[in-house]
Amino acid sequence: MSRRGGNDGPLPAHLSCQALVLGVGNRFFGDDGFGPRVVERLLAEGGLPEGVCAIDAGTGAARILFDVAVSERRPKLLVICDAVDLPDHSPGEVFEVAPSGLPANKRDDFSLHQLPGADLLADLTRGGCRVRIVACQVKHIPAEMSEGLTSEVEAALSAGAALVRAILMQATLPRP
Amino acid sequence: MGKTITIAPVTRIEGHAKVTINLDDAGNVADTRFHVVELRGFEKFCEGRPAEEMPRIVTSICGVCPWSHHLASAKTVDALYGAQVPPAGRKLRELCNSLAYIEEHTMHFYFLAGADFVMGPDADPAVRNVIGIAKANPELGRKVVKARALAAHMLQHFTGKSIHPVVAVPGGFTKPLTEAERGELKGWAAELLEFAKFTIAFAKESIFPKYLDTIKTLGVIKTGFMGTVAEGGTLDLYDGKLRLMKADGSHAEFPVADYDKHISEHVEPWTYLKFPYAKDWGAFSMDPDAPSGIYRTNTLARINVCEKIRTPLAQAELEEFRSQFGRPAQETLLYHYARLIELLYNAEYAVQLLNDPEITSPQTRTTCAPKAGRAVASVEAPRGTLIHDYECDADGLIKSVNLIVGTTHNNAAINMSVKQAARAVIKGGQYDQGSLNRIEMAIRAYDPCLSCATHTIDGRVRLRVDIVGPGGEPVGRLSN
Repeated sequence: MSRRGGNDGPLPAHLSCQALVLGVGNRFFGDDGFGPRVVERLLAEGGLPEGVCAIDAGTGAARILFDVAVSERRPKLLVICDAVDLPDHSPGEVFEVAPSGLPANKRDDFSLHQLPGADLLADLTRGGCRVRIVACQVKHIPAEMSEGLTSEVEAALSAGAALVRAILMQATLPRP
Repeated sequence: MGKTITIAPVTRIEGHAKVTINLDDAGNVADTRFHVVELRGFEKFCEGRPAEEMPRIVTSICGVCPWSHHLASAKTVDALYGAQVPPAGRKLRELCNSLAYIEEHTMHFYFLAGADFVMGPDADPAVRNVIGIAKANPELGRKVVKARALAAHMLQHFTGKSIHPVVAVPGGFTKPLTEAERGELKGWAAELLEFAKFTIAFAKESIFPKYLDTIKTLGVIKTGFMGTVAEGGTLDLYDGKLRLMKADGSHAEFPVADYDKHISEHVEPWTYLKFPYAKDWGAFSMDPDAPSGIYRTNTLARINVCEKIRTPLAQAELEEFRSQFGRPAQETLLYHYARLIELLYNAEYAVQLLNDPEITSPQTRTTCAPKAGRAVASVEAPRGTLIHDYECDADGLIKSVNLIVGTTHNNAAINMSVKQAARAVIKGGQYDQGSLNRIEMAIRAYDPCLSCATHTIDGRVRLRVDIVGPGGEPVGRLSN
């Protein structure tokens, strides 16, 4: 999972890989578990291209992304899987959204609970890391903890995993 | 005409909070409130679940300190089931705790609080963050990333998962440490020790002296403190008794199972977060001019309540700290200095544990079986004493859960520091972004994590400061 980083010393997988897939969200809050469940499916299915690291980041995504943002050694591609609530989308619909198109409350997920003036995903893009977001429209995120996806979002897991695979296959990744 | 200033949410802390500052007609601070806007319902969620699953479930409370919850929960189920953890199992848990601390304290000092000191509290918000630090000082940025990456790598390398750990189980630790793994980890631990030594030297030389006036004045309040100590009052982040110290330095010590005999929780209608207080110290009051029952936890508290630190370099730093600031030190911004002493301690302790031949013993866990009962256990999370209290039935299914997380203990103190800081920087209705950031600095010193502190979830808003008149009419708005 990790590789020697030369003068940098050993690196955790999320810095040494070529492409990083993060499943973001809390699986104990209904449809917010979409991201982790997609990664769970990808890992169970196997067959991810060489140099790809997939992590169920849960609610710890920002910590990973901060390391990525500040590190000189970082993945070339970042694929984030996350549940969203956006207008004009149906529950269970899987689609890509640009980082700038994330709702404000979700953008905050990637800011270690807010950094004044810093849009972390935009910083990653400027730093040469391509950022793709695989989103699923939620039906319901409960106010109090309740495990389990709604049927619409559960049915969307295969489409989410397929979209991630398609993005990875299309990407021209440097040989590890 | 009085005004209300709202800082919502507070930046660069974990979780979401809102600060409301009420000005009187003269434009001076009349009152302040630190509201926590998240709510999670975790305790209710756990009812009916097998107790042995709790160490894995609790890591999803919040992604910030999963290891602390994981270890506290494992200890609680150990106690519930009467399991005796073998020495190697305990040492492996402590090793993981130390590595997680190194990661956490490094992140807080450099990523969360550091920007205030390295870039300056009046710097443009666009650069007053870790990205700004890395651009202004690339070599420093490289060191920080390398250290954090190394600590994360060590946890991941040995335990398989650093974000949602699974290795601490009732009765011990799931896997022994091999000699080959120990050899690798020892080398890396030595690197982390060098980084910790660099960090505290860097801070003492280049940061703290510049801000000594701020340290002595911003957010300063007078409270008691609580932390965990082992035999002889030695600082211990994994196990020991709770030491509850008054502002005059006198203290009581008790096992965590008796926490509810010493600590009560006060509730206010304007926040979900409760206010623990020392019930033997008198009625609850968080008036900064006349506090009562208030104690603090987290780094400064632990440094204050302990008699000594078991590792030599950190002990020397503790002595130097006390010679300069006394004991107990009350200045809130000294949390950062105390945090670096703990960073050094954890780096030394990780080396010490890895040099202990017992850590590679194959006997890392004992078996245990469910039984009815109630148990309480705790660890020192980076943010303060973390208490897990479970009751289960004869089948080992959870009947009730109560958590008091590190940040909750500091709720009253944070409110007091906010008021003190606001009074100092807002006078005659005059304030600017730097003033507001100084108020936030007083909060950030506590390294609060609110995601688990209140155990529920709510929507989030981007940072803005709303200035409203006493009738609720908008007067102005600042935003980042």
